[in-house]
Amino acid sequence: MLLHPKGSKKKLLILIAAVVVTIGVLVGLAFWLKAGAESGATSSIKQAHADINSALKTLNGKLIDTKLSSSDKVKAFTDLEGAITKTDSTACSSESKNIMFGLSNAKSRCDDAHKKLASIKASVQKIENSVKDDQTLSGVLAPIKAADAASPTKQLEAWTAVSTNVAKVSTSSTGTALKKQLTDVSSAYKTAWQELIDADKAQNKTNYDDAIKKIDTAKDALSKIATDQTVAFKESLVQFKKAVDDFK
Amino acid sequence: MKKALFRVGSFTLAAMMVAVMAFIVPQTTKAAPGCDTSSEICYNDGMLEFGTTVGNLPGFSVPKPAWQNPPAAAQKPKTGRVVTYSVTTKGTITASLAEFKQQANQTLNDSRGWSRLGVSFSEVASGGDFTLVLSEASQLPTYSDGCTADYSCNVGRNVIINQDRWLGATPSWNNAGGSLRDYRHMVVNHETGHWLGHSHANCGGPGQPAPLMQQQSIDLQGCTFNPWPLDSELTSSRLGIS
Repeated sequence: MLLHPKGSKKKLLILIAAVVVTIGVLVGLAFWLKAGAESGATSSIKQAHADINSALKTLNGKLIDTKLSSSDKVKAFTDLEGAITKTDSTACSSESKNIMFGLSNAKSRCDDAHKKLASIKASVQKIENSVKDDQTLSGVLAPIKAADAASPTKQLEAWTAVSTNVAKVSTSSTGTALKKQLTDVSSAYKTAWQELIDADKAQNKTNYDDAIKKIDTAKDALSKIATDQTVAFKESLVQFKKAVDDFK
Repeated sequence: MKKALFRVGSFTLAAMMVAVMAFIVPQTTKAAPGCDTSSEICYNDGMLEFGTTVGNLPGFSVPKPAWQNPPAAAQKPKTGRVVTYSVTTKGTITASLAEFKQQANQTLNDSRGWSRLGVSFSEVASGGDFTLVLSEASQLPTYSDGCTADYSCNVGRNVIINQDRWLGATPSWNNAGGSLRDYRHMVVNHETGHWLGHSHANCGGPGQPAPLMQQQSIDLQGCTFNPWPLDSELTSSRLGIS
């Protein structure tokens, strides 16, 4: 295309100016969108923190309510999990639609927040399972709590019932070890009480004293299960707090 | 003047509302002290039902059958005397106090124990003839220079049980295969034995049951475990029983 030299120079300058302005506008728009994504992510993650804190306060309010049943307390943990899931789905949801989201810091921050929320949720699930298992296995001991279990025969009957009960209940995967320990202890109690009754009938002092020792050993083992369970539970609470602190 | 009266009235009204609210608000237990309700799960030990159930299981002391009763000469006639004691703690206690109280009472009234003096032991809320203390190990030396953080002790009216020993007996006891319950029987009986007026005793010979007042926590000296007073130990200068 042939252009008049003077006219073509002018047009070229106009064209260059237009391109520069367009690029400037596009770059400005990109920065503006990027800044928007980042500030949006900041406020969204801040809101997620607030939501988690609020959900925790609600849970703790329920836990200390003496009128709330054991099953309601388990439900309170389920509610907390629901709140975390909701927080996770809303966190950074609108920001992720921003065209500049993938090119900004917002993406890595939001990904990190989702990962930490998942970690908090996993900790809650573990605690909820522990609470459920705790309640289940406590219920198994009901026959021993009965006031009339005050003779060797009654003790044998009670521990036989515990053995039957413990075989029937189901626990979480983490509670399986606890259930196994309780199964072993109830079996040890049964054997010891049976041996005591037999030794009493036979008036065999050695066997009688051995049976008493076995009963004491079983009692120690039962106390140890409770202690170990408490220690493990406290550890899961520490892990939970660590996950929440990590999210801050 | 009117403003001052208005302020006083407002304050009084507010105080009354707070008092009324205290009655209206449903009763709840307190969260664990120091627990941040917005960043922690405030689930204290007492909320764990299994541990609480185990801790509160009714105590059941295995009865001693009639055929196993010691000869009449080794059993003092029942005096009907009730020895009273109160239970307290010192320092930081992590052991279950309920279990401590229950097991100590079981031990003291066991038909193999000091009840063979013809007395019974009854826990009272305060005072009593002696005080049974569950003490943090590091607090033992505060009772007397003669007490160490390693073992239990008796000082005056205080029968002090070392929490570390209560929870874990001693290495020599454990290594020799002694059970924790037997150790607890032994330590409560031994320290109460001091209060009853007994000094330390030595092993009578290899294979024999150790005298209760032997320092079995330290060394069995060839004797076998024995958490209960021997027939020869059934005396009490404090109670005037010889």
